Amino acid sequence: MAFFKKSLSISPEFSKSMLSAHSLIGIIFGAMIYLVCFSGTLAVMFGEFTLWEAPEEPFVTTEDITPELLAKVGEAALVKTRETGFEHAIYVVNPTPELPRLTITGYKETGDWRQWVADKNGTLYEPPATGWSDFLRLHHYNFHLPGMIGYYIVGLVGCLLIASLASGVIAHRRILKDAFRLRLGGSRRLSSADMHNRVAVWALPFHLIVSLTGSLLGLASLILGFVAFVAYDGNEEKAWEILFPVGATEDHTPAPLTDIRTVLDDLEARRPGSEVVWVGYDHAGTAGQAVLIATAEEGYLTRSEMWTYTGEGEFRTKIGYTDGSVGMRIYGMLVPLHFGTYGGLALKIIYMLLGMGLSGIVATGINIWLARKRDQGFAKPHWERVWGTLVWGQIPAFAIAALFELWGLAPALVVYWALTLIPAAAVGPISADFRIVTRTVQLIGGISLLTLAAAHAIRWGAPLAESILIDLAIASLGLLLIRMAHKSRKLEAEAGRLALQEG
Amino acid sequence: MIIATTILPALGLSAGGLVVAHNAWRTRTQTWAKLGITFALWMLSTVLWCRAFGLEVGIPLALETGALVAFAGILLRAEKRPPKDAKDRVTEPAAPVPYRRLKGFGRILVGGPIALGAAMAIAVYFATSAPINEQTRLVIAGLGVPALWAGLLIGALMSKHLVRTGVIYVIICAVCLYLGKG
Repeated sequence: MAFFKKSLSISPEFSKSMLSAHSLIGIIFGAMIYLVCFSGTLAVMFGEFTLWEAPEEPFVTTEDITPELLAKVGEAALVKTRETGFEHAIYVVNPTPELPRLTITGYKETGDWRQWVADKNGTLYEPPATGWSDFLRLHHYNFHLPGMIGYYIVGLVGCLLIASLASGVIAHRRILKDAFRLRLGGSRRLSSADMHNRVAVWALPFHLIVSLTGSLLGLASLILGFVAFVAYDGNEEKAWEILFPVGATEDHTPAPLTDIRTVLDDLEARRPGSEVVWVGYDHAGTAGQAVLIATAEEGYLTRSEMWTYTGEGEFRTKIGYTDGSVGMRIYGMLVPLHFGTYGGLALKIIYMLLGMGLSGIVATGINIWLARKRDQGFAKPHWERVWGTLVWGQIPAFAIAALFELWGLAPALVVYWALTLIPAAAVGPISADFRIVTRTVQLIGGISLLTLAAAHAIRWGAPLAESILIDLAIASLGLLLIRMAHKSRKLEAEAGRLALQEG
Repeated sequence: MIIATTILPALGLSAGGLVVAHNAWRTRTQTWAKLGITFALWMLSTVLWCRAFGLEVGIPLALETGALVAFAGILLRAEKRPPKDAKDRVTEPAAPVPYRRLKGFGRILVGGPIALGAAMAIAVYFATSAPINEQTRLVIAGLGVPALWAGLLIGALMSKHLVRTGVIYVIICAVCLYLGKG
């Protein structure tokens, strides 16, 4: 049987062109793709990190949530948001097992937002300082760029990732022949290529899903805007209304906030025993307001259903994430599929591992290209140092940014970009071997993770089991990195010795 | 309970399928039969995931855990090679490619905005004309844009006749927009 002997019948010339397209995408946009993949891997645990960063009161559990509490919080939120000008839309997000906080977010029409947290009595407080977690989330969503441009850039990165994955698979002529081959050590190019290809092929469904959902989430507004521009004479609202018939009108006459208890009574009659995930008030406290409610739906990938009510509390429509049109059901799945929120902590850990694999594919992709250049006699030591620093430097950059936020020394945004860009720019002109540079960055990463775990334990003590577990995980990762740096030094010395013997 | 009745058996079936596939790959004997057994074991694993968590959640879980099991298996059987120093080679620089920068700019132009425009136009045509529910049309059109753009981008980067590729994309864009608007 020649099944494994023969590869797909793709001509070598086609493969060569595809490989060159694959390399081009990677080289031009490798750094951006890597930054998005790395931050996405961490962002999977956003809820857990938020609690870890500030494990302080007020805590509210799902059992504390009652219609009366939600009504009280809604009223208090309207007062707060009116005082601050964030009353265009108000979202009250109920606690979850991973984040036991009742969070209120007020939005301006421009999309700017502000948050508060509520206690079990419905009193609103400023939220605990979670600058690093917020930074992490926004870094993955939009690179902290203003307006929609950041979302578009991240969406573009998703498209490039799809292009890289597709071209990589098509260009890989030995996809079946090498399906189980993983050679570690030896030639850098060969071991990088094996790692790159094996992870990419075996986890391909995951990679395609996260890149496709991510690119659509990033580009949704641009795509819908364009469709609306052509098909609905520029009326983007109409396109959104087809997907989300929320129904808020432009009547801004002040009015009392919709009584959420009436709405929840009606919801209970329609969907007995439903658990509310969040409540939204669009055009809150105006005559044109509308109410949105998301309920938890076990057994569906979407994890929730959305219901809309008029400002008077009358049922308007069910969005149909669970039983609506195919389109709405697909739309409802996008966020859970992208962030892995449909299977509890175990699935989040799986997503982190697969996300690390995806980041590794991007990193090894550029490594292969650099190693190939070196083997061909066109070594690019400058870029080898820069790439090694950028790839491994993400760990100390995020860790030290967290340290600075933890002690209130500087915003994570400034620290992160300073630690990402300055070392990457600085290592280019120096004359050290790229392996020494990479090893040093790994060592710094390991030490900064150990310091972060220790500093967090000193700052907060041990208020929650989750915090202790995360501290332990961070410290273990730190030790692993230090061991890795040490081992790579030993291997390099061994390689030098062998080369001397051969020479 | 679910760990004993579903998760462990499903992971075991995935691992079993992997072992059989690896055996087929290594020995190259009775390949189709072994691949059939692999497929059956992976299907059974998927059925277990779907029975416990529903079809929508079960299928992604089967794929994701399967990928991890496979990679763990491959890592366990990784071939460790003695460290090797890269040889320092120096090659004469290749002859400069004429109009290199212009060609690079052209590829970015065709693979970037022009390909995006064509992808969007196809999506518009689909969103306005496909004979299915309006919401479904919009969502599938939206999902189609990144995938289409990625495909057209690859086409532009691979193309040996960049101008012709660019013209084809522009024609696709114009025709789809015309039909979509109509």
